[in-house]
Amino acid sequence: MKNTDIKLSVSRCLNGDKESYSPVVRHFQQRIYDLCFHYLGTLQDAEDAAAEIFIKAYRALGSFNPRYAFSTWLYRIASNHCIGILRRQKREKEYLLEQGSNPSKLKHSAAPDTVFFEDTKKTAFRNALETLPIQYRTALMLKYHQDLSYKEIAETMDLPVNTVGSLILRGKKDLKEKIRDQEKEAS
Amino acid sequence: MKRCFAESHYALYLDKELGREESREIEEHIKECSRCKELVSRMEAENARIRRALETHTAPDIASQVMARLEAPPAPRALPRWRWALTAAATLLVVGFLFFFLLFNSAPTGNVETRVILCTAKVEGQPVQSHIYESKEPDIQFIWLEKDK
Repeated sequence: MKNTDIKLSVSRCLNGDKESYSPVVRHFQQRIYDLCFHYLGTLQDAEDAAAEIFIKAYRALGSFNPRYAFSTWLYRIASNHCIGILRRQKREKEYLLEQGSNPSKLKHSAAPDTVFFEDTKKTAFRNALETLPIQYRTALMLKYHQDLSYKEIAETMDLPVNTVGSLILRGKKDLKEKIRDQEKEAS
Repeated sequence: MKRCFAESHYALYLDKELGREESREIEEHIKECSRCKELVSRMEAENARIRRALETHTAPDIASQVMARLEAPPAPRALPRWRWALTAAATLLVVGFLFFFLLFNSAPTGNVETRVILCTAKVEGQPVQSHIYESKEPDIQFIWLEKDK
């Protein structure tokens, strides 16, 4: 779906044609689902979050500025939504720790369905990726999974373009160190 | 052979963030410099590894879920407790104000006058009566002298 077609669909939605939103969702659902999965770690959480994000986006369509790409606007909503969920999960875990409970009992902890890579090296790499600070992880996801340019990533994360370059560079450096540490521990 | 570029420059090249001219210079350089060629090759492999690690399953049919939820009427939202308390307090305040207002302002409407004959006297030989009028405005009194009938 071209950018102009997306903007046309959005314009129709704003004029009351709800059905025009369906092709927009179908166009982006895989990418948003992937993004949510990389943030949240479970397939169910990713699916729930993705649906919430599209509904949030629909309700906020009036605030979309057609001068910019719809994709970066949507990614920004998705990032903010997932970061909000992670913050709530962190608060819940901290609360449970204070209460002396086991935080791994939280329903949104990583379930066995997240471990679907047979290659253990790939799993170790993914684990290392998941332990990166959220800004590094977001920048790497948007670049190497969503294939956004630095400019698009900057618009999504509301950062200068140079900062995006630094985040990607430092993210990769951090990742290399974590993998090296994991390999040392394993041996 | 030109000087080697910084690692950050090769990173931008691999991420396709450099202009055509700069990219061409890097390509020319790595053809001649085996050290930089090896570095770029290693960085490319790292990027590919990150891409593979970020692969996921096929997404479920999120579009149908979203459209179904958009079609459904919104669930009535219960007012939060504090709103109930605020509404009750505001109602009480208004009722109380009205009550006290009516209680202490029960004077009949219109230009109320209470005429009290203060005294009778003679002014310039003419018998007069003085009357005091209280208007509805507080602290305003009119004293009227008229001939004693």
